Amino acid sequence: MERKAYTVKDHSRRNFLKQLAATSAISAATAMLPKVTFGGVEKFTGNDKLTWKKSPCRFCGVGCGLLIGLQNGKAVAVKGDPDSPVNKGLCCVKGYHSVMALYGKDRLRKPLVKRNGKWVEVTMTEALDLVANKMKETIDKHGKDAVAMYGSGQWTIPDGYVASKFMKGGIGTNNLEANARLCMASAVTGFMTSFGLDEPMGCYEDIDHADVFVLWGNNMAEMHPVLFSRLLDQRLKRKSIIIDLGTRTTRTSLAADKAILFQPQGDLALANAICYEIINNGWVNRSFIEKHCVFKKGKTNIGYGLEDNFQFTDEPGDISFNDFKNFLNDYAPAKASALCGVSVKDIKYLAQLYADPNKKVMSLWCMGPNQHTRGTWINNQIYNIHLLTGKISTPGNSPFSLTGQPSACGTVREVGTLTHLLPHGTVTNEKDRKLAAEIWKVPVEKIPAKPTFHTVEMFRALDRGEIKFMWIQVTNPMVSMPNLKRYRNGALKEDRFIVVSDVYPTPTTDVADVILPSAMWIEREGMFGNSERRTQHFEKMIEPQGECLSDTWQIIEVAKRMGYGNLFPWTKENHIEEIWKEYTRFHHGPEHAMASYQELKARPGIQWPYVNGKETKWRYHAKYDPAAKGDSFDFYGKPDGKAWIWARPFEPAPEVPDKEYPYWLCTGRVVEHWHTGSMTRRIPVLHQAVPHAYVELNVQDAANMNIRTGDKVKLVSRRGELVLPASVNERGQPPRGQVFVPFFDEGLLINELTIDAFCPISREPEYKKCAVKVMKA
Amino acid sequence: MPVKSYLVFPIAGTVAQVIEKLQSFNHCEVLPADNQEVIVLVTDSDSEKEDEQFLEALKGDTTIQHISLISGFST
Ligand code: SF4
Repeated sequence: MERKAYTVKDHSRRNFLKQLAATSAISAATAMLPKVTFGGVEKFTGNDKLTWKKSPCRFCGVGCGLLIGLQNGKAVAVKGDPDSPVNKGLCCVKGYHSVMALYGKDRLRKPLVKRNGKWVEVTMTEALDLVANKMKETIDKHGKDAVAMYGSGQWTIPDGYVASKFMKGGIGTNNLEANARLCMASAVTGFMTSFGLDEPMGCYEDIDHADVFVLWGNNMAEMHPVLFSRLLDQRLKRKSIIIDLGTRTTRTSLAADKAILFQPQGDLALANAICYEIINNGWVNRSFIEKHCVFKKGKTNIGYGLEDNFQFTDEPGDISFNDFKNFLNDYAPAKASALCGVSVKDIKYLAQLYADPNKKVMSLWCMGPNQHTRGTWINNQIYNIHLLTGKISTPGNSPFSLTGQPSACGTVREVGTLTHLLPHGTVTNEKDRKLAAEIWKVPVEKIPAKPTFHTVEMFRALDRGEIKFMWIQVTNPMVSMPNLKRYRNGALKEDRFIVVSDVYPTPTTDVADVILPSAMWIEREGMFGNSERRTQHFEKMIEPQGECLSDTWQIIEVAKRMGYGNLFPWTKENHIEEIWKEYTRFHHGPEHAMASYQELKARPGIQWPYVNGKETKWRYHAKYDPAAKGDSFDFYGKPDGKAWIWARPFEPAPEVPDKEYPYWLCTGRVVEHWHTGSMTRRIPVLHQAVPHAYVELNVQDAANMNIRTGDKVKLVSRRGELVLPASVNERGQPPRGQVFVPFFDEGLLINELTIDAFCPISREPEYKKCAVKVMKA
Repeated sequence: MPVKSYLVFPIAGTVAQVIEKLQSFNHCEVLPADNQEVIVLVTDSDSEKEDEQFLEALKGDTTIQHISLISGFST
């Protein structure tokens, strides 16, 4: 599909332009001055004509509360919600401009069907009939595991819930995955293996208590800008310290008190070296670990998942504290320094900070540790440091795994829209299947007990032809999958049928047979769940454009046509409330109880567990958590009530630079763009700020190759090549031998070069490390 | 007919004065920050000429420490 200019529909209203101009200036001020707030933005759109309604931000996992200004049936203004405990009235540049993403000129407004290679507009009824018929026909011909659904951490909670009920309880296949597999799966397996339950024990309020913030491979200044401004504010007020651990110098490094660079994959050695120092200096919180922890080891040399149908299951084995101590002897600072590139002095400094009994420490991380072929391990290792020092589950002592997407937690992790999950528990657990069958009113045999394909394997199965039909909603895998060419070619194969529900044309709609235009964000009602276990409701504020329909209702309509209407006995008017009521039956105990629909509607987000009208801010400590027994810590996620400290070794990345491909390639995001850019590139201010991707080069490397900013540079990996402009000594500065490319640009697809290796435990792919050649083009 | 936005940083302690001055111009709207000394200024001039004249008038103002253009649209 041809995509020309990225422009916003002309509203012919000077007021609208004034509001845009004002929000751009507010955004710029916010970027420069932490905590600055502006109360009166409505003056730019007409003093008395705006109605303000609350919603979580559509973009990142911080989950800022916004107030959306509505006028004449349109969303025309945004301000931070001062009542939201997440952002307290702040907003970042994406949040301020978020409503403009609703009004892009080329917004998909009509269903499209590909006939003889051409797109033909059809009615929504015709399109849904076709999707249902094709899905049915595929199941009849090839079996139920030949159809699949691939969703998103940008799905609302109701979208994910009906998808799970439809696929697992209706059709009876576990072929359900979501793009959060690409960003959060290692966080999940990290939590599960260390604590037995998913999601952070702490919350954003930890920021107001911590004395030290250690950021592990997390460019928070760009990826979690509002939270980062809360960190900066605490530094101003309380002189807290910010330490940036990263593989390149970023805006976060420049703002930090100390920036420490480590070698790609070196985080595994660094975390162990910190534990070594804590133990060998006698800084362990002995009574805490004796009462509340056990030590474990797992399998080693676990592979990288590069081959199709790769299988792996870890086997935890018991070890003692002394075994763990001996295991760490390989990571004495001098040895670890050789593996991670961090000086012995800095390793000792970090260990001292973590161990100082007078300092509360918060570790924060996101994609660096997660998109990692040993992602589960490095998550475990950060928990190890907090457990050895007993700095956990109390205000300001917090290992905090951040999410990237607005509802990666709410929809994917809590609703369980992954192949092995159910809205409560896993498909492999009979009790969990029985509970789902009871709530869904389906025979328990309907829900298969075996997981099928995780995301990378699902796209491999599409390529191999085991999956013939795939329905993709709210995500853009033809930009975001690693080793992209293979998966695009797979999707384009002769007898594959691809349905894509989205709001704009993308490279993923390019491979579709049917495109369903989706109602976006506040054009429908929904809920998101953010990084700190906070569920936030938003109402339908404006009418969907053209024939756009919510993803939830698209699934329900197709399910009805396939004979599963009895699973969704709700009306268009009440379905979100009814879904919420049914869904929360899965989470009724004190470990995960959720707020009622009415309470969610009334407040700017509520954290679960929500018990007797009270949010739980810190889990696993009886003082704060109604599910915890005794009078202090209780890690009740594990049957023995203990947290697990894992011995996880350093193992190299699957592909390391060599003579032929001498540079590391790292990929990531920029503050202006959301993920694959399909929305933010339609917002002129954001698009103009960063109109295309680029490759960041080290100054010395660039000088050696006679490359300057703007020069064309060719990158070549074993999987693909790409020519793009150079950026030297600008926003980010990689060390020698490394380059960085953001992935938001569908015109410069860096994922054609990345490797589809993954963490064998979480099955989350590696986006931060592969080997490339670099040359002036 | 340009619409532009600026961030205006007054000399410390002169915010109220600067706001008053900016409000005295035609086609200007000001939005002071609630909690810091910075002002968002949005201009909605009738012509390029009016826009230039306004900027000229601000140039000599000693209460303004710094002014940065953030965005501009022409209609
Ligand atoms: S920090 Fe994230 S949630 Fe907050 S306004 Fe920005 S994009 Fe939205």
